[in-house]
Amino acid sequence: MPVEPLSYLPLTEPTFYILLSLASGRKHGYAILKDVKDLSGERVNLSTSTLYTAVGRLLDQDLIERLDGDDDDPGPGLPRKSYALTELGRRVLEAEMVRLQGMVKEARLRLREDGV
Amino acid sequence: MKSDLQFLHRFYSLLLNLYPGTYREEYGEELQTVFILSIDDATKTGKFETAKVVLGELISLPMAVFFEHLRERRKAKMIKNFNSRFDFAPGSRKEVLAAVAPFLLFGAIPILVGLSGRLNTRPYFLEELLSMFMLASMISLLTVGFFRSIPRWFMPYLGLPLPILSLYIFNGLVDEWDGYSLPDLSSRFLRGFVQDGLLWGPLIPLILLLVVFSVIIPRFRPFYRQLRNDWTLLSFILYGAAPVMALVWFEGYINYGPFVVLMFLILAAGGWLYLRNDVPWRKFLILIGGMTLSMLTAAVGQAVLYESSQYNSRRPYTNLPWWNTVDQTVIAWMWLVLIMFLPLVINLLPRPRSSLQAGEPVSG
Repeated sequence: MPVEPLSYLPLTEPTFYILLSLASGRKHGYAILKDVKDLSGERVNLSTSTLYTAVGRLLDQDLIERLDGDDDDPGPGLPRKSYALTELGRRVLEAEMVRLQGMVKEARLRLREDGV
Repeated sequence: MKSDLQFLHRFYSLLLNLYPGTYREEYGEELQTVFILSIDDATKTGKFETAKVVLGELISLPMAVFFEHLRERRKAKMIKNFNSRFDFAPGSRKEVLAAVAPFLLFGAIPILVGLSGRLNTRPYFLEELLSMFMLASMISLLTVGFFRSIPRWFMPYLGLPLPILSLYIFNGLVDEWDGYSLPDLSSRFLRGFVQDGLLWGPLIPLILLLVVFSVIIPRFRPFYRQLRNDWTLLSFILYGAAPVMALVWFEGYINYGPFVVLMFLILAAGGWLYLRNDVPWRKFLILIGGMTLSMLTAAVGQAVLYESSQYNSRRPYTNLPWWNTVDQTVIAWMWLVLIMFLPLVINLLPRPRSSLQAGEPVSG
């Protein structure tokens, strides 16, 4: 039975940024942590444990997958496992983007009507 | 500063023990690495940033630990519930019921069809309802069986689709083989034997394919070890083919309900005796006995129905004596019994030493 991406919405801000971070390719945990911080303009500052709780949930939901780093050595001192967006994860991210766009569009229209 | 950092690393490593064991095994190293990298990065900015990161970690950790324990418990409970629901003890009433369910369900068809004919409500309502129920039950039990790595009670379910597949292969071969004709044999019985060999012969490669799959696919290797430990399980799979074959034998007959019900009751009793026995040869003979008795019932049923003209007259052999109408069943019985001996050959194959030592229990 196909999974409906809309059933995952709305995404929390950390979840959205984690998925967005992985949209450009596979990353290990620390790279996600830094990317989320950068993408959110340092507003979302995840701790290690919060990141991995979210990662565990996203893995359970099949939105991301855990990969072995054998073919892509992360370098010394970096985690050996990396994470990548699944096809479902990409569809969920796109659906969230459309939802947010719709909200912004409505807000813009209303604010224009009110002459703000 | 360096000793402070080392203390923090060690302290964090100790805190990781608060996580559930399996989670720690899976993610512990990663958590530790990411924490070290975060702290190292923060120290480059200054003490305040380091303190902020450490504080953030300390505040979020208890909640994360709580969530992981909760998730672990939920997963363990789900697995336990699922396993305990279908983990039937060998020879237990539940195992026997699960194994003989296909025979009982198929046996119930003629009763319910007859009942639906008497109830003058909505045509075919009961048949539709029964078909849906049977389909849903079969699909659920098939799913459960595969998830439980093919337990002992699941063997008749594996056998159910085999005659259908065999018929498909036979039809495919006939279509492919242009100008298909039987050998010019004078004996009608011998010609029937060759024809039925082509019809039910594909059961042999199908069974062999099943064994090959169980060797190749790691998930089903326990099933292969079960087969090596108890060769009669393959015969039990073929025993499960009988219900579908029986419906083929009674094609063209009318009022065959009582005979089919009796056949399936015999098959179910055979399945029950098989699961309650431990001696391989006795188990094998029970299966052969059950199959023979049920097919004898089919042959008697065909003869009785034919003699009392409860037979579709469009069929070609309406002018033939009754014994010519039951020979198909007798020949099919011969083939099926022959194929049921196939597991014996597999049993004669050399066993790898490790599989003998493993002593995998044959259980459901």
